[in-house]
Amino acid sequence: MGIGTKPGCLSTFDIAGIATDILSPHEMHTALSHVGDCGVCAEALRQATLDLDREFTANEIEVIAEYLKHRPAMPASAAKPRPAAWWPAAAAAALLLVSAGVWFFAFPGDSVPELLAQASASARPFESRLPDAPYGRAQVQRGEEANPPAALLKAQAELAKRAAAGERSVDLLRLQAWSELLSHQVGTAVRTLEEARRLAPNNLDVLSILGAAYAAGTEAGSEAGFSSSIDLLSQVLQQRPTDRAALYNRGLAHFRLGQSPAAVADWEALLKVETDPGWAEEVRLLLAQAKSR
Amino acid sequence: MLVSSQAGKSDAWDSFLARFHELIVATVVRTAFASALPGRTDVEDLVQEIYLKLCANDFQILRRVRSDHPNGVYGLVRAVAHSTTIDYLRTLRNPTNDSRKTVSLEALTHDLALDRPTEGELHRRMLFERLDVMLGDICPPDTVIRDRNAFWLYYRQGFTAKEIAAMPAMGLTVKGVESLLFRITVALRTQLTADAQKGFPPSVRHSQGEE
Repeated sequence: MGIGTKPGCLSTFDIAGIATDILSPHEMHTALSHVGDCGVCAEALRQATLDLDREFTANEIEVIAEYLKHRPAMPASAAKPRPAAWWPAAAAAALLLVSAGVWFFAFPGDSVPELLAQASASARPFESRLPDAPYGRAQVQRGEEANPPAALLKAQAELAKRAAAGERSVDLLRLQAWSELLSHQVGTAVRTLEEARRLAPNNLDVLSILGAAYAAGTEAGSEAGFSSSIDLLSQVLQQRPTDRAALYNRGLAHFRLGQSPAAVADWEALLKVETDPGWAEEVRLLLAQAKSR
Repeated sequence: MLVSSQAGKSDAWDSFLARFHELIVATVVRTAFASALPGRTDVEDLVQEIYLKLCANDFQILRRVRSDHPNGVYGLVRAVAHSTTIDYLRTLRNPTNDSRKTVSLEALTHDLALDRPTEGELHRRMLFERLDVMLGDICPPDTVIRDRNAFWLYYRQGFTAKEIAAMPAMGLTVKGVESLLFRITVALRTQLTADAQKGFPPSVRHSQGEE
């Protein structure tokens, strides 16, 4: 369905495609050139960007959690004629959902950091290591399925309530950014953390997670993010030389920039203080890669 | 997973749901709530419609995924969910089919007359064309497309630097957008002043005035 009435007006899918960055360079150029000339499409793009980028409200999070209790079956038009095979899968899915629902309401007293740590442990959506997060396998590299959303949704609901109550603390911003990172909103998380950094320029907790976020946001190959990450994490390590997340992430940034000796130094220092066997194992694997270069 | 989905395997479908169902529901709710939609049935219908679209024509839409793109299938699914919701909302707001309406010839003539550009509008368009040519000259070749788009979104469509920075394709922070716009504006102002000193009238295109 076209947005406007002028020749060349974009479809709603094209508009969403700009906002989600899925168009080819040529399509993007053509679409944005039109938007620059068409007020109707420009307004639609503005709204789409806002829709897809803004924070969830507490009410929305509650509604989403409610809808997630139901899973649709594959549309009949797309499924192969294998009806018998669906019942075990449906039963397993239902059992899984009931379990997830029970789990969602089983920990009413958990703090937001604890909930976020639980969500981080399920699977992390990027290579970077988040401060205070237990080990979780990198979803991007190893193709693991998405983590159960309950802990993350609950944490987001708590954060939304605190924000709605007028809290504007650095700690709140840091936790919001953590939840954004777990929701694949790396760009939003960086902006949130830059705001926290503006409020507290020397807060090492903020600098540490910001360093992780910059590295997470540049896994596609850009060097600038890794350089920023190294600068920030070096500030952290000057004052907290055994900060495990900072050592891990700075090593990763060095490694991605082709600076293997520096990566090896960071990861060897990390192994001396690492207590989590999951992280230790991953660091050993990374170390082996770095040394083989 | 896509290949398996396309083969219609139920375990692949479960995997697809595990990865994308939350994303789809969240996108629908956020988009619909921003427009003060509906009730529960609407959202359920929308989610179902999105799955139908994703599966239609042997998963044709999923074949658009560019595997080398960092957003990949996540961005595509979000785009389908958002656009389907927006289309649905538009249909709700305009339930009648406009093509069945009749329009009087007098009204149509009146509308067409209103669409005709005024003299002021013509001057404005000529200025825009001139600026567009100048942008092609002053922006670095490797970023000229992005810079030009950012400039027009800001100055013609009223986007804020924050809104421009929110578009992943721009690849800029808010500060980056502000810095870019400042640099372009200064360069344009310098060029316009230089042209004026050479005596070119405002309507002369920059490219025609070059030595």
